[in-house]
Amino acid sequence: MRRGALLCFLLSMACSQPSPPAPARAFYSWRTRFAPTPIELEALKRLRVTRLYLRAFDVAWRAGAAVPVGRVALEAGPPPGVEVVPVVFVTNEAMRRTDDPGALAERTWREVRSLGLAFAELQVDCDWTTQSRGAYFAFLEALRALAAPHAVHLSATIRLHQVKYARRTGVPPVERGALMFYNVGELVAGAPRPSIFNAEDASRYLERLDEYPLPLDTALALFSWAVHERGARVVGLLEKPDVAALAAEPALSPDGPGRYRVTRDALVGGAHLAEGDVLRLEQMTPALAHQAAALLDGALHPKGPTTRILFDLDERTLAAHPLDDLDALFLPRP
Amino acid sequence: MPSSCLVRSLAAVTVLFAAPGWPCAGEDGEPVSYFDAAVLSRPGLQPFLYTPGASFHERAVPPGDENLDEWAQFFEGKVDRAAWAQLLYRDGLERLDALINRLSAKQPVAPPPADAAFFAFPDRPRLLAALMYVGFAKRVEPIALAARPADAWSEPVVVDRAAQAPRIDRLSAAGAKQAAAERDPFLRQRYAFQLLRLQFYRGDAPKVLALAETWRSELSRPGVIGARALCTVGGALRRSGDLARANLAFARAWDASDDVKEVALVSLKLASEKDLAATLALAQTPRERAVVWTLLGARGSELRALEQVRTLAPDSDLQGLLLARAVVKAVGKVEGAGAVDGARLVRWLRSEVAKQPRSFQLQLALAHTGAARADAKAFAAASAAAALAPADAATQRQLRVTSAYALLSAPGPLDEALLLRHVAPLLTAPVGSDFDAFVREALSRRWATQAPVLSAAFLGAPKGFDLRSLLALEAFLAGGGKTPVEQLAVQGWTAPPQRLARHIALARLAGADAVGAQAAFASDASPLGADPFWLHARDCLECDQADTARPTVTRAQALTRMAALQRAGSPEALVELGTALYNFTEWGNACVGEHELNQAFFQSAAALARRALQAKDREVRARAALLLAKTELQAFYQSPAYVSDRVDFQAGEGFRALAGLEDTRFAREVLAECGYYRTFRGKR
Repeated sequence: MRRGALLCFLLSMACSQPSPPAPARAFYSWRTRFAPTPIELEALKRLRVTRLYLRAFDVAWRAGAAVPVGRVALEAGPPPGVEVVPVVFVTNEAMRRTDDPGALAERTWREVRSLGLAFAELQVDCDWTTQSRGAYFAFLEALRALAAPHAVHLSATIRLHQVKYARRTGVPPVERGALMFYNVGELVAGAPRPSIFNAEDASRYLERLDEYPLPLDTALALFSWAVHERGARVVGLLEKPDVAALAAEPALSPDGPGRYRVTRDALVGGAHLAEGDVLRLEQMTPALAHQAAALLDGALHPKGPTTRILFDLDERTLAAHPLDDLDALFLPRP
Repeated sequence: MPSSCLVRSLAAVTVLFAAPGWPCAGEDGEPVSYFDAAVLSRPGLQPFLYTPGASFHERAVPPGDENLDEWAQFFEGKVDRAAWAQLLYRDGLERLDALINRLSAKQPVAPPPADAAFFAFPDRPRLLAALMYVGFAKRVEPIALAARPADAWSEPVVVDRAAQAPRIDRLSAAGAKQAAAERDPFLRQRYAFQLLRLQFYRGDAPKVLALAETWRSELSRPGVIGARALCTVGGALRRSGDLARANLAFARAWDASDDVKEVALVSLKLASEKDLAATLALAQTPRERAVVWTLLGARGSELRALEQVRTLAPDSDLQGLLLARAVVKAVGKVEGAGAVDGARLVRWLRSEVAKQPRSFQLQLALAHTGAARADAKAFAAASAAAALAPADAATQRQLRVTSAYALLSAPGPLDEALLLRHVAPLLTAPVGSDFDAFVREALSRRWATQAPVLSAAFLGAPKGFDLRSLLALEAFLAGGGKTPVEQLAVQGWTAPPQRLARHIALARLAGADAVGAQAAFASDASPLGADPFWLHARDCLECDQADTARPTVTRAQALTRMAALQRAGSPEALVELGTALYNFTEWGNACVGEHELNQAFFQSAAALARRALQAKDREVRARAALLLAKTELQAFYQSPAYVSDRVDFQAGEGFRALAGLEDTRFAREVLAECGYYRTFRGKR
C-alpha cells in the first residue's frame, strides 16, 4: 500500500507540469525625492515586496557634457526587508554624444556609490539606438568592470523592440535584463489603441521572448497619462493626471470617453494647452495590468529566479489598483 | 559571410526601426529655419529667442557684464576695467587688503605695477570705500558658495548651518553698520544686497523678506544688483510658499537686468491657470503684466502671450521676442509641447497687420511664416517689410532670404522677372547658410519636369549618376545658356569642371566601362583602402585594410588595370574586374564613397560574374559563382525584402552554381569559410 502510494506520488511528480517559481516582488520608485508615504509603505508590506528599484539620477546632456540630473533626495531609508536596486536613467542623447563612455561609467559609479546605499545590483535604463549602441555598450562594459569587485551585478532595461530586433540592436553586456512590458503601442495623435498597453500591439513582440540571450526580469505598468495632441502631432504627455481635476477644468470640454478638447489656451498640470488641442487619457486599469501579465507569462518562461517589477510606487498609482489585484500580478501562472 | 559587411548592411536599415511609437524628430534631424530671430529683437534678449535643437542652457549668451558696467560708471571710467574685474572676481582677500593698506598709507609708497590702475584714480576716499565693500562681499561669498559642488559630478555638499551661524551674525552686524554709515547710494545698495544674501544662505526666508522691506529704497535702485536682490527675494518667497509673489519678483528681476534673465526665467513656476492669475493679480502696471505674459510665452505659450502683450504693451520690446520665438518654432515645425501652430500664427499676424500695416516686425513675421506655409501672399508681405525695414546688414540679409523664400515657396508659376531680381543674387552671392542649398533645390524642383538639364544645372554641382543626363548637363554648361534663366543657371554653377568629369567617369565605371572612366582618374594618386582585386569567401575589410604586405593601389593604378581587364575580356579578367567593382562599394574593401553607386556596382559585378560562369576552367567558374553570390547577398540586404531579422537570406544563382562546382579547390575554401554557404548547403 505504502509502496503503491509512493509510486503514485512519484508518477504524479513526473507527469504534472511543474509550477514556475514565484518571482521576487518589486516596485520601481521613480521620484526625485524618496520619502515613501504610509500608504506606500503599507502597500510594500502587504504585497510582501522584497526589492525596490530606486531611480538614483538621470544622466543627460547639458551644455556640452553628460551630467547627472535630478539626483534622488533620500529622505528615508529603505523599508525593512526591502533590498534597494539603484537605477540610473541615461538619455539616448547623452550616449550618442559622449566621447568617453569609460570615463562616464566611472563618474556614474562614483555618483551611485555616493548615495550611501548598500546594493547588490545596479540597473541602467537607456533606450539606446544604433547610433548610441557602441557608446552605450562600452559604458555598460566599463560599469560592469567597476561593479564586479564589489559583488554588484549589472542589469539593464530592455524595451520590446530591442528583443524583437535583437540582432540589429544588440544585446547589452549585462548579467540580466528587465523587460519593460509597456509602451507597446504607437504614441501618435488619434492612435486607435492606447500606447501604454494594448494586447494587439503587445502580441507582436511575444514570439521570441524565450530566445533572448539574457535572463529577463519583467516590468509591468500601473501608471496612466494623458496624451497631449496638437493637430496631427503628439506634443506632450501629462503624467499621472488627476482625472477628476481634468473633468472639472473649465478650459477642457469632454469629447468622447477619456478625451477632452481644449476650448481656450490654458496652463493645466504644467502643460501649455492651446485652443483646439486634445487630451486623450490612457489609463492602466487593473484589468489591463492582468491582461499584460497573462500575455507575458504565457510567452516568457524563465529558467531561473526572476523578479516582477511594477511601475511605479506612488500613492496616486496605487489608488487605481486594489492591493488584491496587485498581489495577483506577482503570482506565478502555470 | 561576413562580419563587417553585414554590420554595415544592418546599420543602413536600422534607421527604419526607431523605438516603437515614440516621435523620432529631434534625434537625427533637427528642425531648421531660415530665420535670423535676432532681427526682430534687441540683443539683450537674444538668449531667449528660440534656437531649434538647443536647450536653453546651450544658447549663446552675448558677452557683457552689467555689474562691471555699473562699477565703471561709479568710477567714471577712471579705473581700468580689466584691473577692476581681476580684483572684483578673481583676486583673494590678501591681495585686496594689501592694496587697501598701500592706498591708505600715510607715507606715499611706490605702487607695484599691478596697483597702478588704482593709484591713478583721483578720488581715493571713494576708491577706498569701494574696496572696503569688495572686502565685505568677498567675505560673504564663501557662505553663498558653500553648498555649491565643485562640478556636476561632485557629491552634494551638506552645509552645517549651525556652524555657519556665528559667522553670518558677525558679518550681518558689520554689514548693517557699514551700510548705515555709507553715504553713497551705489555702495549702500550693494551692502544691503549682501545682507539679504547672508540670510538667504542661512535659510532664513522671513529674515530675507524683512530685510528687503528695511532696505526697500536702496534695493529698488535700477540695475543688476536690484535685479539680483529681486531674485533673492523671489527665492525666499518661494521657500515661504508664496508662489505668486515669488513669480512676480522673478518677473520684475527678468525685466530689470539682462544679466539675471536666465535665472529669473527658470525660477518662475507657472503650472496652472490659478498660478498665472494669482501672479497677474499682483502685478501693478501693464508692463509688469506684459512681462509675466512674456515669460509664460518664453516657456511655451508664445501665441497666447503675444495676444496679451499686444494689448498691454503694444510698442514694447517684448513683442519682438515673442514674435521671433513663434516664427522660428512655426517655420521650423518644432515639435513637443511648445509647438506653435503656423496656421494660427498666420491668422493672428494677418489680423494684426491689418491693424498696423506700418509694423516691420509684423510684416516680416507674416512674410516668413507665410513662406514656410507656401502662402501666395507671403511675397507681398516681404515687400511691405522691405519698405519698412531698418538698414542694418542683418535685417537686409534676412529680407533677401525671406523674399526669395516666399517667391520659391509660392504655388503656381514663377515670375521670371522677380526670380532674376530676388533669387539670382543668392545664386551668385550666397548668404552662406543652409538657405543656399534650399534655393538651389527649390529652383531645381521648379524645372525638374519641363527642363531636366536646367534643373540639374541649378543644383550647382553634379548629382546622380545617370550617364545620359550627366553628358547632357556637360553640354548645356559648355553652351552658356540661351535664355536669361538658363544663363543664370550656368552662372550659378559652382563646381569645378574636373568634378563633373570625374562624376561622369564614375557613372561610366558603374556601368563596367573602365576604359571610358580611365582618363578622369589618370592622375589620381590617392590610395584605395586596400587592393580591390582581392576576392574573399569571407569579407573582412579591416583585415584587408590592415594588411601591409600587399602594395598600396592608387585609384589611377586600379583604373588602368580595370581598363586592361575590360579590354582582355577573358573570364578570368571579368571576375577580376567584377571583384574590383564589388570592392568599390561601401561594403567592399576599397570603397570609393559613393553610396548612390552601390547598386549599380553590384549589378555590373553580377553581370560580369554571369558572363564568367561560361568559362571552361571550373576554378574560374567557382570564383565567378562566389562573386555572383556576394552581389546577390548585398542586393538582398538593401532590398525591401530585408525588413526584419526573421527574414533570412535566400540564396540565389551564385550559391546554386557553386554547389555544382564543389570539386574545385576554390569551392572547398568557400565551404570551409562561409557560414552562409554551409547553411544553404544544409538546407539543400
